Amino acid sequence: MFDRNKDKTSERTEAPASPAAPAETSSTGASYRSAPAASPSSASGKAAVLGATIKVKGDISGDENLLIEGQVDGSVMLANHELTIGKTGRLNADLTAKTIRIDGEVNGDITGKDKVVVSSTSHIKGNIVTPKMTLEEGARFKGTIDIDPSHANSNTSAASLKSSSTSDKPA
Amino acid sequence: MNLAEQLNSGQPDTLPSRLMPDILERLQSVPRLMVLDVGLGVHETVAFFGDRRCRLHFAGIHDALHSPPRVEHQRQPGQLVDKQAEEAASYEAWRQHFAQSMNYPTDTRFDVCLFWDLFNYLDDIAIKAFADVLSPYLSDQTLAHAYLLLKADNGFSSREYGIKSAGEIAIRAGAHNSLDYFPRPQARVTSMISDFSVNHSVLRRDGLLEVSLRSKTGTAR
Repeated sequence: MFDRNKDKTSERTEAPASPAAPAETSSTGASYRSAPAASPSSASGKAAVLGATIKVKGDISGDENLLIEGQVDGSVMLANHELTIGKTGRLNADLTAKTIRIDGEVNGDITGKDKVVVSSTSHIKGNIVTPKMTLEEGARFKGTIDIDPSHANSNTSAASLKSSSTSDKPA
Repeated sequence: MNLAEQLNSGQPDTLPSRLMPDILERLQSVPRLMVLDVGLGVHETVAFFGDRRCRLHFAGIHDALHSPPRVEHQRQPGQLVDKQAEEAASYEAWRQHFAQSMNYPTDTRFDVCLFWDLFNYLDDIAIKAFADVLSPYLSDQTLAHAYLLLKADNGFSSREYGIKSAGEIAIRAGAHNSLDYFPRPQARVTSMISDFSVNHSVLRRDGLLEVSLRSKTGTAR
């Protein structure tokens, strides 16, 4: 859904993003700005941003990094790029991306083809499949994690794990 | 800073383990390790297992104990109490309660179960229900680890556990001090988790008995 705005890359603002900052909204409802400095997206350049006030019902796919601070009901598929769920992000969606960092809430299965990072501010209900998993200090997780370090970019998906799961904030 | 102060500060401390190294050594050759941790996943455990092929199941059972199942017993004035029926109803309520937390695919078979201190928070009926829910997920090779409280101890406190290294258990203050706890002899616990037998046990200075278990029908790895 973001492809039609790819030619607008030069118009994206360079200001650091923050969850509370107003988003620059495109005609699709998505907004674009450079990724926060602490985001993994910053390591490989800019990321599209779905701002904190944006709500999407449907499937999101694309060929660029994405930071979601808003709400998504559906699915997110970024096969070869980085997906970050910011602290204000609220997703009822299955997620697939090359690398995934979760600081917000996710209700759905998570497939990170290279890596998944779960922070202490996250709240997850779902299963995780990835070759490399990091649960940051202070994070708590309830659910199932399928780790296979030898199978980066494998086609195994978290949806194949059927059990209820949640991650909790620190006790 | 003593251990209690350290735990209350939120900083992890470590307990040496004499039995975990042997358990983990026996699992070295398992190509895809299936792990049940009855607590929540913490940084150390995920990092420890993260460089090998595995599936980690974090059940968060302790949290479920804060809202135990309610069983309404219908008692008429003047009637004898049917204790057996009441216990059966309580068992069934606990069984359903645990089944919600351990709703895994039917072909799941755990290689190792990390019970930590869970049994100390369960009465006899709840332990039996937990063991029966777990039973279908065990193989004849399953190993397990637990800490048992043998005697009433005012110093017993809730902890979170993780595996920092083969011989070191990471511990933090837990959120379950409000739960009742049930000290009991080792033999009584193992009589209720009938799928396991005790492999080794070590009495720790803090009063907890560290126990390694293996599936009763299993042979040594």
